[in-house]
Amino acid sequence: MTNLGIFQRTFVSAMRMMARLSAGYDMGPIAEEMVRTHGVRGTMRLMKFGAEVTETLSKAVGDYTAQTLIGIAALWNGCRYCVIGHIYSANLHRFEKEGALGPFDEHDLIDLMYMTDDESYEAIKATLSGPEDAATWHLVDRMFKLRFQDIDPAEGEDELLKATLAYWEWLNECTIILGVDATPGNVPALGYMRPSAELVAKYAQAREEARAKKLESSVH
Amino acid sequence: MSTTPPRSDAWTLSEGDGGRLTVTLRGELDESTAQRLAQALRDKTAAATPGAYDVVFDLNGLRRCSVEARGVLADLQRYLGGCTRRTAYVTNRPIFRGLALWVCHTAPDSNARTFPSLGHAKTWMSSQDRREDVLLDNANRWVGRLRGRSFAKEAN
Repeated sequence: MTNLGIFQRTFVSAMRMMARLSAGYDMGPIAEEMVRTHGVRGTMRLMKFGAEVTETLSKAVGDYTAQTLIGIAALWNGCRYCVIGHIYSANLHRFEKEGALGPFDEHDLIDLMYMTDDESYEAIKATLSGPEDAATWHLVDRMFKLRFQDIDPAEGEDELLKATLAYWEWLNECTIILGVDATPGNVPALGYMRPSAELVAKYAQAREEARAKKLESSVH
Repeated sequence: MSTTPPRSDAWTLSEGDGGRLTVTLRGELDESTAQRLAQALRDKTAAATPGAYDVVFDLNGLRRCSVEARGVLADLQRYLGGCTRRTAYVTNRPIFRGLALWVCHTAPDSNARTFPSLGHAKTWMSSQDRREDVLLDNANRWVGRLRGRSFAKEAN
């Protein structure tokens, strides 16, 4: 692996600081990997594109659905770090707005990744089967067809979904250095959420209670 | 022609038309098994003209891969990057697409890429573009098309 020069190292430090301020988390070795792979200009473009796609997607479909779609796009690329971090972010958005837990438990996501694409499609469909997730499921379904069945964009948000798929496939090239081994509990809420410590703690408590209930009902 | 590995190893190596080597992995891949596979591929390609072979790793039957085996695959890919033309890792399980992406990235080999099916890999196998360039062009194309557009909720 190439070592970074002084200018590149300075840029990485600045980028990590910016991420801490704007997104609320440290990108860790991913920032360095981006610069090593794409150079400083390429990394700046990567960050700009990411902000563009996230903002457009959030405006179009709302924060919860946007983060869910990003998480699932990353799931199909095999990046555990992005799946866990974006679904966690989606869950925090929903919890903050509605006081409800999102349908995907972060602890179940890696099991989904061990399934085949068709099996995980069915599992995601079942998970998003509630009426409150009908619109999100429709977009996931379209995204699946765009990703795996090579359909041409035809519906309203299809080009946005294609951009999401294309951008995260590019980004995951670097995030995979953490994404190959990431586990729930070690990944921050990704995106630009910056959750408060209070929200994180309340969500964690609610999720733990839900897990305990689920375990109890599976025993009985 | 197939290479039959010793004992009950979880892989087979076969040579098809047009200089394509197909490595099929099944079950669990541990370090020693991965090393035997790597040696078989090195033996197969050692005397060949550089670029004579394409390699397809069929991971559809793979169920587990140890961290050590993953490292062996990255070393192997680094070697293959220097002597073969193209590599495609094909698997319908995202967890192994992630593993294969890590292998391609860590090697690093710009002529190696992951795909959900062999059909998706066809264009890549016959092209000459670097993986990073393909991904960048694709992102450029689709993100560029968003600019100046408004979508349903925005429009409302």
